[in-house]
Amino acid sequence: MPGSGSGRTWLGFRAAAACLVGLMLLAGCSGGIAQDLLDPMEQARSAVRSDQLAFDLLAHRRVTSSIAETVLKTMTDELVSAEKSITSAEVSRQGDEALRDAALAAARQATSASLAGRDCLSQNTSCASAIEALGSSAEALQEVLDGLHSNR
Amino acid sequence: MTAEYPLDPEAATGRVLDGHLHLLDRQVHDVASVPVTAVSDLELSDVDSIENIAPGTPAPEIVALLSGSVLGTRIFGGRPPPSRLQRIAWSAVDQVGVVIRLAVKGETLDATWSERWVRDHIIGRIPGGRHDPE
Amino acid sequence: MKRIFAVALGILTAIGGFLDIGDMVTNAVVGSRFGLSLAWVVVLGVGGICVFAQMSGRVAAVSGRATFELIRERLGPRAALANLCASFLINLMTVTAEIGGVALALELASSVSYLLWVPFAGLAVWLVVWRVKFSVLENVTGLLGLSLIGFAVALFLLDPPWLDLGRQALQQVEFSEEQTTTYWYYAIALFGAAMTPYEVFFFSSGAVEEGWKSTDLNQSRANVIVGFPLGGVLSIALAGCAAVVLLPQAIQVSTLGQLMLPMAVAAGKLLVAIVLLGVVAATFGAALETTLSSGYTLAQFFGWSWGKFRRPIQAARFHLVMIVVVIIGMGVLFTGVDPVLVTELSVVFSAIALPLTYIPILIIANDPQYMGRMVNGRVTGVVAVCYLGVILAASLAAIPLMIITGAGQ
Repeated sequence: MPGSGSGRTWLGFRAAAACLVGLMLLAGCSGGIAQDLLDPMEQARSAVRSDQLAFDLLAHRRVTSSIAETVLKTMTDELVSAEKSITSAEVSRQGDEALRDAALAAARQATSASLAGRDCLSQNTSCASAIEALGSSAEALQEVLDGLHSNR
Repeated sequence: MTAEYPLDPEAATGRVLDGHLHLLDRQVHDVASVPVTAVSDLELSDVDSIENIAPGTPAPEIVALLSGSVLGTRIFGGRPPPSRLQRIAWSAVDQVGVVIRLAVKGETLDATWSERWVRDHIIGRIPGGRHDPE
Repeated sequence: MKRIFAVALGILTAIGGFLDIGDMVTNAVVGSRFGLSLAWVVVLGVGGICVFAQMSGRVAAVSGRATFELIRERLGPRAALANLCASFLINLMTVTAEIGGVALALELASSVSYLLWVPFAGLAVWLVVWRVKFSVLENVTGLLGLSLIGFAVALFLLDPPWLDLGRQALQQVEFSEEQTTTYWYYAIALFGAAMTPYEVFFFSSGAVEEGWKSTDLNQSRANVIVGFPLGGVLSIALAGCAAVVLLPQAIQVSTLGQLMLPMAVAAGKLLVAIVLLGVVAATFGAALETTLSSGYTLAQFFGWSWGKFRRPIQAARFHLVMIVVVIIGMGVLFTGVDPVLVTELSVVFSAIALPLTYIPILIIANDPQYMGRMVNGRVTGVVAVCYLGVILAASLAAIPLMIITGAGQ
């Protein structure tokens, strides 16, 4: 019969669409804000540690300044995007806002440290303070991450 | 596959070709072995549709190989207006084998108009287009 | 002596030819997040591309014609059109990723923003496609790409804990910060990075370009079967470097710069410079191959004249397609989209579209009308069908996994 074939295909499409929507909902299902904050915080930690590694290699002359500069540049961009993800995290429960604020503070600290590192390299000034700032922001990030892990 | 030799449409004994198998979607090369196009459809004489042929009507003949926009209608249905068909007359066909070899140069054919247009208006104007690669 | 030289050249070119920006980025990301626990996928992928290349090479040798001409003829215009659309779009994505990769590598070498290198890279790709002879193009980029042996050198110099790496590879380690779904998502990405379909179209069209006879094609298939696995070894070495240096620091690779850091740790500026040269060469070579593939597939489907052995005016539409492809690639990059993101997506989409390119070759290679007695033997046949299963599974799982993991977050 002419109609039934296309009818079955249509049903098939609807089933597939329903599955996809289900998957998307599944993907969106968060385990509370701690889960939402985990990814951007790990991203931020990764970026700061990359900055630190780049500076370390630069100090030992194992890497050119152009590579170090590029790393700092791209990592700063990553930190900015991590900040954005944190600000857009959904606050639904009581303690959530405090968690998000702590995460945001640590991320902002990291971003400014990374910015300082990027600028000191491109302007050829001393990077000692930037390196120190990166060190303390790494600690701050780790603290928040430990808090998030215990919160999950 | 099958032997290659020139086609003689007048001969009562000759090769039997399956239009679908040996002609459709085959590459067409000109007399200098330069690719011309791929066969997208066949134009047959005297019949409007293959489905309802009254017994006793004379057999349709292949008039031309078709290419170009007819590919779209072959896949999706419909038929382009006859004036817009890109034809390669069947009389221009020299051999039918792994590829369809024509007895004429590709330049003279309707089917290569877009190639000539692109060559004259774009590629030919870029420096180095006329040289062999080095 | 000359014969040995030719064989060596062929193998060496294949090694450099196997690696492209997709392989390098995906392996570095995977190494930094999963250690060597996905190394088995590289092995699987290399096996797959060898089977794929073997079949399509045999088809080209026996029929004397390039792949896409046969696909339309044997499978009809509808199937061939679906194949063409998928292949062309993936090619376009890959060209964009490769040109972006060249630009990113040049940025690392120079501090000049990669966006300023994009037009330079695009123009260079087009100029080589326009003017340079096929064999020169292949050999130069392939040989320079050999610098990527630096990955293996770096791994040795890092003096890694081999036992730990071995345990990771053999699945005896759990990564608590990563989820199983992400693991499988990256397995598919890695598989797609290894089994690049453009390689097959390029390979068979290249056979016609260079007027290979049956013996040449056999030689070339042998090159591939030796060269590709060696290329795979270098991929795994890169993942190993990331695993040793970056994984312990919880550094997740997302840029080309981070990829280079382990080389710097291993042996400083010299090794970094050598590897960077290799990255530029291999990525540039891949850009050439994918651009040419776009031209080949479109021209062969429509029956246009094609080939670098012809003057551009004799294959005008073929060259026009390639110009348009490069322009679109550059255009996409100018929108500021991250080339690394384009790369990561292109390998997953390659995996999704793989059945459309693989199945036609499998059918033709099994068809006695085309292959005569040279159809797939029993062993090849079984292996090829097993790979078909893997390819279908990967293709079907890719989109759901991409959605669930948010493209690997």
